[in-house]
Amino acid sequence: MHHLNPMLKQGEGKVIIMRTCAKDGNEDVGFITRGAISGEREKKVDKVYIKEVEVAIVVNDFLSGLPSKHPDNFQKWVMDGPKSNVTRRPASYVPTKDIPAQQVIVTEKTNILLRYLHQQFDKKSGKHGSKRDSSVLEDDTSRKRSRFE
Amino acid sequence: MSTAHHYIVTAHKPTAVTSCVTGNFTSPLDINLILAKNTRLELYLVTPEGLRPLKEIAIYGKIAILKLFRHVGADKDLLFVVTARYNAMILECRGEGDSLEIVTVAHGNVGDRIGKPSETGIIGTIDPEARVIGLKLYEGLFKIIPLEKDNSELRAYNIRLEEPQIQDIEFLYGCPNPTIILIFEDASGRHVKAREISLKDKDFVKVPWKQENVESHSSMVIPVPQPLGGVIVIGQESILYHNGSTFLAVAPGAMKQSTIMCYARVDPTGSRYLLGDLIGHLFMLFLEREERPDGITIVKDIKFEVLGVISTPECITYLDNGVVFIGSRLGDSQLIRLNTEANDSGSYVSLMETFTNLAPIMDMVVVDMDKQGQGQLITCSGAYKEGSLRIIRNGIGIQEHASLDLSGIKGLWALKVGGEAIYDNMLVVSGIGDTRFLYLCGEEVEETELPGFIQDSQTLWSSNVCHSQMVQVTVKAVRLVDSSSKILLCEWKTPSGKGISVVAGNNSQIVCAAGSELYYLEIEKGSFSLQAEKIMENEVACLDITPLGSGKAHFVAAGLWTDVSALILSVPRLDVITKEPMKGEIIPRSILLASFDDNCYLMCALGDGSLFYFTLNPVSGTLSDTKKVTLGTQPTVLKFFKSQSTASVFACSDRPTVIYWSNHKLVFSNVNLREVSHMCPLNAMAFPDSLALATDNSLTIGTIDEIQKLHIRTVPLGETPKRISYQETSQTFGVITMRVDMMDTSGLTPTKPSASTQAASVSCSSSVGTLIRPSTSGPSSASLPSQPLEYGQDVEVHNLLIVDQHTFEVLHSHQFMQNEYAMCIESCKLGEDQTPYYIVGTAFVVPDETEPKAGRIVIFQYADGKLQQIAEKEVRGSCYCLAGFNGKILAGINSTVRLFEWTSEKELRVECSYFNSILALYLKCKGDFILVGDLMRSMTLLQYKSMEGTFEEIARDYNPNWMTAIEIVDDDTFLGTDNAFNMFVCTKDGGAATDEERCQMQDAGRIYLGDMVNTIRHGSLVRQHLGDTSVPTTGSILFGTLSGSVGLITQIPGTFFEFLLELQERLTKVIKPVGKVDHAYWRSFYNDRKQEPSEGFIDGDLIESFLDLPRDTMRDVVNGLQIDPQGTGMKQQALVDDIIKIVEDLTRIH
Repeated sequence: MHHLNPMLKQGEGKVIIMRTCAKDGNEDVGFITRGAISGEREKKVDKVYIKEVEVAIVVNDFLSGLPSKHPDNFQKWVMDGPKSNVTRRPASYVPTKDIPAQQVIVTEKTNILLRYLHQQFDKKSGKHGSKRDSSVLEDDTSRKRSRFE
Repeated sequence: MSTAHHYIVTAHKPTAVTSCVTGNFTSPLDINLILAKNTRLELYLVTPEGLRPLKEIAIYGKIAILKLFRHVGADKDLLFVVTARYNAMILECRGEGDSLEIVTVAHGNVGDRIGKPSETGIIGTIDPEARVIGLKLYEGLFKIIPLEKDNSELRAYNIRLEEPQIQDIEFLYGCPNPTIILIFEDASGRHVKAREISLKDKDFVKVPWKQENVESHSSMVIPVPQPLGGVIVIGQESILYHNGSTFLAVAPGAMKQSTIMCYARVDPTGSRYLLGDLIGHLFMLFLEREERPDGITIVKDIKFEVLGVISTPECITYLDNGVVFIGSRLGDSQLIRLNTEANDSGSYVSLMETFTNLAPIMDMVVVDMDKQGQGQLITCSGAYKEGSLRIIRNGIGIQEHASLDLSGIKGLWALKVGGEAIYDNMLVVSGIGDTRFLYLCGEEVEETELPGFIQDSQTLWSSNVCHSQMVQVTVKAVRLVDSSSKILLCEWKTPSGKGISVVAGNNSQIVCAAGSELYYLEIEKGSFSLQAEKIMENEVACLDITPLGSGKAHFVAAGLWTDVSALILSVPRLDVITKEPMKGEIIPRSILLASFDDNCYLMCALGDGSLFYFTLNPVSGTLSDTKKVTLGTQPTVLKFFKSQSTASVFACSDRPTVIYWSNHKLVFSNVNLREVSHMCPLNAMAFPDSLALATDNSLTIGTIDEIQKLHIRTVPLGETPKRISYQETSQTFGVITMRVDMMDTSGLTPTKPSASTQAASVSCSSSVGTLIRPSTSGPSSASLPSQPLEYGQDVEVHNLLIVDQHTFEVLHSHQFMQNEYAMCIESCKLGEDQTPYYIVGTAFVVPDETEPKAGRIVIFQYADGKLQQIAEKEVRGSCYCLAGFNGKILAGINSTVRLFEWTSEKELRVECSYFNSILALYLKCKGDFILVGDLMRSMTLLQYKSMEGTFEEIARDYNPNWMTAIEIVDDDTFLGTDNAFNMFVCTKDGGAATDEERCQMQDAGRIYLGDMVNTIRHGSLVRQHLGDTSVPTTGSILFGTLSGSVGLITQIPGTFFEFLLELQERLTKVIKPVGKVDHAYWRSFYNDRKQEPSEGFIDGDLIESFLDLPRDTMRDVVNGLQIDPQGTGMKQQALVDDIIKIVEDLTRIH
């Protein structure tokens, strides 16, 4: 249901988008009229809540100064209606060069709990290192290596 | 155990865009767009002219994550990809132009042996400072891949995530240690929490901040870069900005209509974001800043506005200068521009380009609509507002630009009239007794007179010729006209006074025949000179004098009546050099000398639509290698033309064909026109590089598409198509669609106009006995709800659309009852009744029920523009599938398969049933056999015993596969696809020794596709048996997938299979896949229970990539490969050209 706000005053000629808002909050956006509204306010007109926002001005702000890395990009685009593109798929890349990877991703297989216990143990032993023979401890830890695939 | 041998290949690659990223990938200065289309990456470059396609990269896996990142101090980005089977890879682009290489700098499988796959899907995120990659692959675990540059191993480890039901995870900006922000859900609601990771301790160390009880449907976090920092949380109806200490929330009204799907950051500083919702609104979110006196920047306000309407987005990325790419899974992807000024409809968005997308293909049919011996595929594509039917056919498309009603065209030529003309500006259109001149002025065409030319006679040939002259040949004379003054310069008549019957010419030569008299003229300035004349032994039927190189022609080609032969004559003496008889009694109608890249051919089309072609030696004029193909059924006219500087031959007939040279071979490709009687190339100012085509009653000007591709036409529906069936008698399609209506003050109302609401006529189901309360209201206000609907509630409304097969107009729309979901449709005849019916199976869906307890089978007849309900049958459950079965109808109803017969009272009566299923979702029949696809118990083969009137279970596959589609390949071979993206083949062995073996289907082949197959149908997209083929394929089965690809499966003999397997094996050694995933691993059958090597299938995509290899590499592949060309068992060493021919022939089956 679309309602225009009859009470909107004509003013400084700012373009605003007015939203009509049904009771449950379902909204329709897309009405443009002219008027001078500043800030936001809500009023009730004919069982329809109308919320007016200074939209267009905001949208102008939004859309001006969009990032531009190369000012030329898309500038030679011929705008004669949208182009449909069915075929323009890039050529297939068929790699035949064997370039060895610099890095291999491996997953540590140590159980999270075991790793936690080891860490706790290390921390504790670090704290109370003086009470125990540290050489024995080092032997202990070096007996097993952490597992990787 | 028997093994079936199949060849599987992608006929149309996936089109759904699942992910897109922008960055500097190919070089520090290039802006690249990278798209993920299921198993393929597409790499584009942003240029002043638009997007330039660079490379399509096959990934051996279904892409789950696609991210760009940049190491600190680096000047370009690296690409991080994770597949659904947990293969991770970091890719770098090196080199440029054609030498561009995608280098796998790191790779490995990040899967764990134990773990419950993440319920909210794979989530991946990369620390903004590129210290670590974070992955949520399994429930309760967060995998960290530290990005240490100098280690040869990247040691990934898991840390425990105690938060339940994680919705989204991102890394925060500007944190001394990598810190994630996550949304999770527990009994009390959804919460946001930041957690800092200690790389040393390999664990979360602290919670810098959290916010409990954010909006209950918050599902997306957007980390905000410095100086603002913090995070934006997107909810169902609200947006929250939180920086750890303060927050700000808004609930913009525009958000209420739908759910935000995705976002793109616009500014590097993070003040603007683009958001897209499910119904295709594009929004901009703006964080308004304020600098406080203490120098800290804070967010003062959140602004949120609608910019316009786009395709339902899956991903968005900002490119440059206000241009944005919208990636869509449910509709066409788009390139759009954001304008600072709104257009007339209040939109700030203008559409620049659309990228056709077939996904998701829910159902399809293969129909030979034009009766051209070639199937067209009609798919149910897209969903919601993007729902459409797509008509896909193989061949060359002609884009019509202008059309005139003109009938009886007997010839067509384009001229440049006036001395200075660069473009063609006149069309000479010959009728039986007259000639018309159409002047092309801009896009206007006007009939005019052409001084010097005669109008009251049929024109046989006309052309611009040397010395700025024009020639018109009529029966009476050859006329030479000055092209600027338009004065007749000279007129030549046959010395015998006989009328000219056939003529051919070029820029400076004319050859014409009057019966069996043959004359050769040369064109001079202002006159003709007769150089030779000759009496042929038979009347001349057709002639050609096209030069094979530049300059004058050295040969004349002629076809003769009576003895039916093709001749090559010398110029100027008209001596017969070669005479080639063509077997048969059909007269040659058109002959042509054609050269493609210095390969010369003589082509001769006969009156029955067949074409002989010979290799022509351009020096000696001798002919060799006679070949014959059938192009059409009517006399064919051959015309040489160049399109986009490619030399081609247009064969005008009832099945127009373009013949061109590709990969060292002549290729025949049909054209998407019904019938073309004549054509001429036309290069007019308003119609550059075009063709003028004469059909039965019109003259069309059009441009020709790129050669050899699938031609796709879209019929938008605006609602979701679910199932389709074709009915030949009524020349219609029956399409099941679903639209979403909303409950408002006036009852159920469609949310927007769509096919079912705009149909020419409309009806609805109004009464159905006891199952549901009857309702009588019209479609827009819908039937009364059986239970009260909440205000604003969405309701699915199901319809049967009757769609015209030619115009694709929706002729009728029938709406089913509320809560009644149409599940399937079948067109068939029943019993003795000769009427074809549309039969629809439905289910009554009640939200509280775990599965539907009731449904209907409704029988409709569409005749004389009316849809009539003939009968209906209530059933106890959802009718998931229907199949016509020898005049009866088979239905899968919940766990049962039932056979209904059609009584003389036009009622359905149950004849027999089969109960041994969980849910019988799919049915296919062949003869007495019925293949049943189950929800989770794979496939079962039944046989109908007509004497006893019972079903007998013949064999069953005991693997617990969750099925998505099935098909019967032949009597013993059955094809199935499952929801883990595999395809497999089972065979039955009726001759097995024991009962146990007989009733068990054998696993005879399997392959991983990485895509969900929704529909499988027998049929082919190409005309069968066009010329000689070297590949012994049997049958053609097409399948359509979730990501919009169309695939083909064909059976091949064992020996050929072995040969291709060896070729495949050799190719895997030569082609080094991006990401270093092993081909055998990629194609191995994989689900949550097992992984088994692929077997019984040849990967056609890999085989066809042979043609893309450099010649040297081809030689390496072929070296030592044996072939058996005669099929006699005498093997010989294969040559590169042998393999090229075989692989090329394989590419022609799709």
